Amino acid sequence: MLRIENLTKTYGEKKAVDDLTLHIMPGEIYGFIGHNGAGKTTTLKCCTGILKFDSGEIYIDGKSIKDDPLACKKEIAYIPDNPDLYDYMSGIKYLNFVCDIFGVPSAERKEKINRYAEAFEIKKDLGEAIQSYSHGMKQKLAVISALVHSPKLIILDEPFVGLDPKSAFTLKQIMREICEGGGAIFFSTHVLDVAEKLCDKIAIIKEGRLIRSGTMEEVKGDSSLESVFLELEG
Amino acid sequence: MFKLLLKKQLTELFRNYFIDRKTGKLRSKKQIAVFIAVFFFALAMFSASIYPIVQIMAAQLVPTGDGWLYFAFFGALSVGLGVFGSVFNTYNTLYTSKDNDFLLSMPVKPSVILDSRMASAYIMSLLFEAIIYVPMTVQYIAVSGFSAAAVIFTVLSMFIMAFLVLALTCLFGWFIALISSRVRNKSAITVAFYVILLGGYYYVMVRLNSVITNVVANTEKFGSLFSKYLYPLGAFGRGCTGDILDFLIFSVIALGAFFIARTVMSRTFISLATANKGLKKRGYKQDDIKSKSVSSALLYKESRKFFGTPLYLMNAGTGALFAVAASVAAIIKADAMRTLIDGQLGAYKNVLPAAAACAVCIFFAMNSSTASAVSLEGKSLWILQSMPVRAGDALMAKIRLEFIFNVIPAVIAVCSLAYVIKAGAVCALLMTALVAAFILLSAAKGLKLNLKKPNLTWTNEVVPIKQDMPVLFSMLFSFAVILVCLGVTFALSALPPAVPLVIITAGIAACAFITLRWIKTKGARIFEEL
Repeated sequence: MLRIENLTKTYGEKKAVDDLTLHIMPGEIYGFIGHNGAGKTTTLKCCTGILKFDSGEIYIDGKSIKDDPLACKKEIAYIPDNPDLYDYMSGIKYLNFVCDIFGVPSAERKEKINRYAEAFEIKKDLGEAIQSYSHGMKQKLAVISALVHSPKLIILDEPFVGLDPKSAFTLKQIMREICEGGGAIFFSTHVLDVAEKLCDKIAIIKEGRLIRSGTMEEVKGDSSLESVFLELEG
Repeated sequence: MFKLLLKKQLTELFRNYFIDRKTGKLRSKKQIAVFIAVFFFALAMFSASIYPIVQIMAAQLVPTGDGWLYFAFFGALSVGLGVFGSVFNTYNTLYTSKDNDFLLSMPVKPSVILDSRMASAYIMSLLFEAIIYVPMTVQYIAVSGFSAAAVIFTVLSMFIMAFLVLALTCLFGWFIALISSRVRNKSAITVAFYVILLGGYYYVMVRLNSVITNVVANTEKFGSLFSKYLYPLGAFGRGCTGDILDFLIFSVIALGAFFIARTVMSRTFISLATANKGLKKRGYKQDDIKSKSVSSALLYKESRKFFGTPLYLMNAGTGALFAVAASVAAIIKADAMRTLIDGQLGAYKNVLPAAAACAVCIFFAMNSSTASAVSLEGKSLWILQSMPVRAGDALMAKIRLEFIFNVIPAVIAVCSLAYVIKAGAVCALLMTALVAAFILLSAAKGLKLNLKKPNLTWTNEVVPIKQDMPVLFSMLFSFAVILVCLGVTFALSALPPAVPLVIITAGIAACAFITLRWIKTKGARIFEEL
């Protein structure tokens, strides 16, 4: 579903991502961990086509993000770590806008908006301007906007920040459902407990370089993810 | 702490002039000098537009010993312009800054935050004041001869008058914030207030000529008006001519008004800056969920931003409103205008259609929404960048909005002027084409400028909408185009009226086409990489 091959991205003279290779298969929840400034967000933004990169390739469902960005973007949804949405729209107008861009048919969008808005308990707020939303409500709306167009790959940057425990649980359930339906999830997190329980595979990045990746068992062995992470990060 | 916060305010205000946002480095001295020169050139242009009125008044009032009335009159005008020009700027600077919560959470006295914001608004008031003060003072000296006392008092009074303007704008801003904190639809309140203010401004401007004639003919009547009912302005006028006592009285009144305004505001600043109405929540209806094409959705997004942001609507929409108002006035005064044309412009009948079309363009030169459209994406730019949307299509939606918003008022304005000058169907059509091409060029150029100098890190929308370089440069560019068009029109005055219209329209359309090509290719790449 997502193939990152020898990705390198620099900011001026600093290498933010250095020769990173990762493969994410359909049905996998892939966690991406590393300290602040390790290059997680840069990698995720390169995968979504927001950032251009210096060398390497990124393929989404077999298509190159460099050569055919629009076809790739149709297959993915992205939620940044701090989703600044269109404050001047109401929640429902924003979701409608996203559905329009992705060409979601009317009946399907009605069903999905209702379903996810109920699941995240935000239905009664959708008529309000996003400007009046709390951080958590904005995060919920961003999550719903990522789900309404049934993407094959969802890329999330710290998706659980700001969500209340019930919504975080709902999101984890939905992430699992999407993968069971053949989709894939690639997300960054600092919450190692969540990564350990939720992810099928994990990758650890340090100073732009991939220092370990594989199934949860391969990465952590008999110890906890936290102790492995702390040991690797040194 | 005050200095630190003021520096932050001023950095945000003038950062574009000194720092290259792409590299984050200080611009070269030459670049800074050019940008500052263009800024002052724009101010000088506004001042120059006032100059004919200043000349008439000075010639009539100063030699007869009514210099104080001359100053009082222009003092009143500068207060009006200052309040009209900066009331919404002040309101937004004080109450809608995104960093209000952040600063209020820091160990900083709220009054210091308020003072730093007011200081920034004071500088804006001072700039508006200067537009009238400079020609007023220059012409006074030209007529009465140089007097050090008059110059010193006039310059000092400009700084003091800006406090009076600031007091009024702060009180108006406080009033808007107070009402806005109690109602759901802030935009409607702000726009309603703006329309009232605009109506007043327009009323004065339309009647300005007759007011000037009246003042000159009835100096005693207006002298007593300023002495009795507009005393602070009367004192200001006498102070500018060198009367120390009146100068002191005016200073006490202006500074007193400022301290009253500041006291009122400091007591309510926190509650208004952090106002949360807590009204009943509003769900949605199934009917709210409707499908649109991608291009309609992008246009819808742009229109929501435009109509949902009062400051944006006011700054980039007022020209259209003026155009419609002027059209109505032109039709009402059609006979008088025809008499004037037949009497004084008879020799220029061939150039009238093109000149009239250029006149209509003036209204739309002030209407560039695209000049801030990219900057206004701000931190939500990731949405468009991560969606399956071509950057060129996203950019074209911004141009389409400006074109659609302006073209209908433009057609109304052209039709009314065509009717007044009896242009004929062909010329009327060509006039419409010229204005439409101009609006397209203006929109494309505004967007190009914003793509070249984007500002995505603002903390207050006032900055990209009103104060950033692309907005100023876009307006200057549009006025320069109009001047070139008028030059071509008069150069071709020997030819039939349709010829200059066709040539100018073709020239503008070609420029628009080239700029649009740039936006779709290079501009789209810039947008993708922002």
